[in-house]
Amino acid sequence: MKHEAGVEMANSNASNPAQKDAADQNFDYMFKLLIIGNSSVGKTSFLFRYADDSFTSAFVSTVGIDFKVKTVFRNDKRVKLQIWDTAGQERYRTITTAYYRGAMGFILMYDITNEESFNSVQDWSTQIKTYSWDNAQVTLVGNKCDMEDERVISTERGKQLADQLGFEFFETSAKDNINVKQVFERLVDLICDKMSESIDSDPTLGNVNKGTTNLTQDASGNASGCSC
Amino acid sequence: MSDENPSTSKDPPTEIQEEEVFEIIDFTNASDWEKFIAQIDEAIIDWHLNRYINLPPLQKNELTSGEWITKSTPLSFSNVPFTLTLHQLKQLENEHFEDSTNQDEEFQLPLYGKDAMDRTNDFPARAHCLSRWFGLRCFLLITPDTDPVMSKSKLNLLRSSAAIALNNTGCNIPMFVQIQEFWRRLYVGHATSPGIMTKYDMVHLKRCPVDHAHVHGLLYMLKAKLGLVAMPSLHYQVASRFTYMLKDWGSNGRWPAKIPDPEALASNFNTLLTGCLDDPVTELHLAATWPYRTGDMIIDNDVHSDYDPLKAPRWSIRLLYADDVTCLLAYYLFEFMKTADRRETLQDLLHYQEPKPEQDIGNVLDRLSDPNTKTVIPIVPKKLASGISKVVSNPQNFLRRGAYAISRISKGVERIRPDVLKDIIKFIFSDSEESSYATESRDGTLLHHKLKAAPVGSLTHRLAICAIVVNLCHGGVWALAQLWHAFVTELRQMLDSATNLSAIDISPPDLRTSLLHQKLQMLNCCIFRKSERETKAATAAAQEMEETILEQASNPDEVLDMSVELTKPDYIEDEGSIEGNKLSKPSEVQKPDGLFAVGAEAVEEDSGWPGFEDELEIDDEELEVETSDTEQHENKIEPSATQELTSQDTNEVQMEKNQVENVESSPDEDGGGKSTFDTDEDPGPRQKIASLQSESDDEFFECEEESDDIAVPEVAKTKSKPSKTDTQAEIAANKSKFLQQEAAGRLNQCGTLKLLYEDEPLYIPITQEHAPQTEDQLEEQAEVFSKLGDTLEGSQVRAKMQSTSLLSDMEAFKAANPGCVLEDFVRWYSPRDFEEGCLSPRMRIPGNLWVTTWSSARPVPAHRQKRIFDDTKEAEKVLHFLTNLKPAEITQMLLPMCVQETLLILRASSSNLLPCLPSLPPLCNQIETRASQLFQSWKMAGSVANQFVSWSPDEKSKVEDVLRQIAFAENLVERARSLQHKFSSLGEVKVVNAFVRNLLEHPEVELDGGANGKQGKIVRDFFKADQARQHAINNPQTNNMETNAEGSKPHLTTPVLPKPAGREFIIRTMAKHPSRISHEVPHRLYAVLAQSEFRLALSVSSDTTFF
Repeated sequence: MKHEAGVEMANSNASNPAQKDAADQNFDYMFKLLIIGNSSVGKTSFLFRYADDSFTSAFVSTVGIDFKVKTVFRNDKRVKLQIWDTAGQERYRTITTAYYRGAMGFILMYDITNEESFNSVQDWSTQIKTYSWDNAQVTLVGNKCDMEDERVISTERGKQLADQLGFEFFETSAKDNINVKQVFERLVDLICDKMSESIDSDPTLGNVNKGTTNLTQDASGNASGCSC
Repeated sequence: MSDENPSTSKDPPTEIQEEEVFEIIDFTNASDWEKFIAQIDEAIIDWHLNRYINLPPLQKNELTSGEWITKSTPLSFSNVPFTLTLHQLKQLENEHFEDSTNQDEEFQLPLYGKDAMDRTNDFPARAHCLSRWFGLRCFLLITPDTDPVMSKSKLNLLRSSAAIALNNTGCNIPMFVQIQEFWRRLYVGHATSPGIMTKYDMVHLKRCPVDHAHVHGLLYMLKAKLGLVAMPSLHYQVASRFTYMLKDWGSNGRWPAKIPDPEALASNFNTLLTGCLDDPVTELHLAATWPYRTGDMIIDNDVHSDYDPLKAPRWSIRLLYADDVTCLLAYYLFEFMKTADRRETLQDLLHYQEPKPEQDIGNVLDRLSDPNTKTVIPIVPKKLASGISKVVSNPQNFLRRGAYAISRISKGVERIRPDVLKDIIKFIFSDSEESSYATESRDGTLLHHKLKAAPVGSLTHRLAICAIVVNLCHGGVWALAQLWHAFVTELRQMLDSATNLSAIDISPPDLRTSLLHQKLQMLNCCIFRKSERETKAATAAAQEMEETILEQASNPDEVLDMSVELTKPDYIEDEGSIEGNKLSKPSEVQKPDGLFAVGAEAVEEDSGWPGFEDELEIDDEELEVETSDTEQHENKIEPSATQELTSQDTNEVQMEKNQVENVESSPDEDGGGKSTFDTDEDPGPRQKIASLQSESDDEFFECEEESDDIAVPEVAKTKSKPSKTDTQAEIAANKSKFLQQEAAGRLNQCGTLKLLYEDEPLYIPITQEHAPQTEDQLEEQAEVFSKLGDTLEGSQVRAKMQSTSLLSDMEAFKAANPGCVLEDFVRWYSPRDFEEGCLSPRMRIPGNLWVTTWSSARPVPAHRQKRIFDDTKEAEKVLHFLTNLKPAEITQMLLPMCVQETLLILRASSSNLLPCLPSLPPLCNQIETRASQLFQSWKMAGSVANQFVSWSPDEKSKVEDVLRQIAFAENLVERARSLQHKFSSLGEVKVVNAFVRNLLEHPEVELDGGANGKQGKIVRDFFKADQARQHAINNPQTNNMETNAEGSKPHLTTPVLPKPAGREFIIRTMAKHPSRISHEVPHRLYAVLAQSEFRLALSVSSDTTFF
């Protein structure tokens, strides 16, 4: 049985590249996003709701890391989102944090019915700061807001923590499809903003050159002014 | 004026409305000339200049300190392109435009006329030449784009166009036309305003006519021009300025005071040395200025002059800097960059016997690419420093020669001497003394993370410094190749002897650092695991010895014979030790014809796509675990042998295994391969081999313990065909067997939890650590994952591929907790999946990976499991990667560390120089940001791990940009140091720094107290010393010189100052022009008299109301 898996894997691998290449050309930008948070907060469900618009009460607990792809449009540009879904168990931290680098956006998720998952947000945030790119955008998401009866984390607390950490904040329900799309759209907007910002800020680097030439111009100006 | 009035018979310009102007351009049948004028009109209107502009008087030095704005637009005169440019001083405040409605009240000077007569901005230190010559803060300029305007008729045409356009639009801004060759900077111009018209003319000659080489002559000329020669009562104001040049600072002022010692340079591997090879401050220009003298008080004619620069009311100096002086930091880096363009492989360079011709080519290339070749850098070796002031030499050769001198290389010009190389290697690998200094970047994150470099003081960092020094001082790319070879050889030795690398932490690769650093961290992890294993094996060896000997005796021959025939995989052949583990592949286990199959497999895998290999491995590992009960027996008999591993050894084991398998297990396609071996097979031959290959053991995580439980294989055997459908039942069935099993590999208790079905505490097992990965490996894995596609199947395969460590953890858990069930495991591993006494729904999904993996997991403590992280193989991968780098790639890999080091040095300087160079820290920040962006986004590794990707042309140019910025920053540092040195006798450090800062920040600095102040005295001393030197050199002709000297300093017995390099005069007057009944209108003559240039810029105005 295990060997079968191997064969299957090889097959899909062999057949995929061409497919993939064709698909690859169908976008203008690709953003890599990462969903993180404690185990059982609903990361996989959230992702499936967004990517497939489907919901199942029980997805197999993610082993390691997995992903789904969704293409969206922003200002007439096709943006391919490669959204990586991670295992929340403590034991998988080292594996998943390795994927932080290169992620342009993070969805940090907790479960509004679970105090512990909320308490871990700070830790996750530290992990992001340690392992991700400086410019990565983070959205804090309190999931399972359909389960109002079991709520233990008030919206206010979530909002407060998000403000404190400088993250965007949403309460969502993958089950009832509340705010799921909005979370991704907002995150993509933020990333786009950041991108154009960093392009804009590039000219400041150009200023250095200006400074350089100015100073050299000084010298030449001197020469023309006095020794002529 | 009247002849220039446009035929359109417009009203006076001030009354023009914009609508009417548009009518002008709205004709269809216009001549080229008219079209040309129309274009100018349009531009003037676009820029809102079609009105009377009046502004408050200029502030002092506003022409220099203010901000200039330029706007330009293309023009075309019958297809000949021109450009019209507006140069305008930005008025920060009080901007107001006045329509000259009060025209009737009184005759009023236009703005340009007032500015021309304004004395506050004479001789601006930095301004457009037209502004400087004519005293303007706003003007329009027509320049031809291609061919200069040479003919008189064209000039007249352009000039009248300008005049007409100005009149058409009522614009009172002067407009100029550039004529003659561009380099001559000759302009003529025109300005018009109600009641007044001004013409601008220039004279440009190579030599100064004797008649006009003094104020007297110039005055005469102006009078003649105005037709007022006979009017002595005219009042002239004269501003004068004499400029003196100092090119030799003399022994007191020379910088660097001490030329960097080539020997020190060549023998210092700790850090990079700083300093420059020549003075970045090349010249001092002293300007003696008389801002205001009245014309009739001046005596300055062909026989006598009363201009005495030492008594001038104002002294100011400006400095000329050399941008291309070689500074050491940039020198290291640019030389290093040259290597990045080389194409040779390491082997090419190491085996090159005659470096001579190659060296010549290299030099030619050097010359082409060397940004410093223009400058000939003088170097004064210590021995010669006393005599001649400057010895012109190529510093590179000189430094290399110096380097050779210390290493006393006799043969092989481009080589490091062996003992020097040995010392370098010793230094690189010496223990870290934690001598790292503050390496934080400006925003608090670690600089080496920002630049993706390596921690200061680390092995990687030292290597980079040594490489860049070796490249500069010990023979360029050849020496670099040697160093690299020695470095990798040393790494190999460290690995073989299981000695951990010093100065590198034993932690998984830090993805925020350079790929090279990650690779070295990875290697260190491997070495650490290896040494740990060996230590444990050594302690266990004694116990096992007896058993080993016994078992060895049983059947020693069988496999040894076969081993000879096996192909050795050519994975780094020349390095001796070869990873054997590659051979243990799943397919191999299944192959019915053992011997050939194994050989073929070995070759195939080595030539195969490396990325694919990893995928296979994952699966392979799973399989291997399943067969591990057999292997445990291998393990048990494995002492700590010291022999070197060979691939044959591994092959033998595998072969033997296959054979046994073929005999004993049914060749069932699926299940047969992973069915367990008969554990009672004769262990003799294997154990013998195993004893030879303990280092290559790739099957087990750790091997420190004896196989202590016979029960395990028994249990496993029954489990070898697990039923997927009913795992719970199976667990229940196996429960009794687990209970018999002795617990193994416990770490500690998991809180107070107890097993669900046993009255035993729940233990956390000792688990295998996850395999560390470098970024290229990680990327490759991510790519494999993403290639599997966004499908359910893909997702399942991915999960399967990643379940290795889950299985390992489950097995360890089972071993530590006999009688446990999946619920127990979940309570430890994923507590939230155990709710209210049972598994969460998702864990109960039939056939989910957690359940299937659990059912296939057998109780095996971590130390007896197959290693998840195959350190032997990973170590080889790293060495393979390093060995195959080309010198160009080595350079690229090392560059981030080198940039980091230079940045740290610059930052250190910047804090020292803060009082005089406050602009340096921001500059460093900019360099840091830029380098950070560059190195962060630079993907060194290809999509296939262990593949280095060189710079793209774009990346290369960005790297060069960063290096240029570093060079510039360093140049600034040296300027500041040079000036500090030159003016050190000013007094307190604070005073010196303030003055130096002033000099660096302003194009021209006025000296306090003129010639007699402290600053003036230092300047005088520099000139005096220079004069004395000149005097000494020209001694025989002294008398001659003095008689020839110009009249400017005839009374000086000791000439403090040399002949002025240039004299400038501005003569102004208000005079009635063109006739005696005209208004008094401004006239201005600017003259510069230099040795090889004579230039006059004259503006003469006429009253247009009263001719």
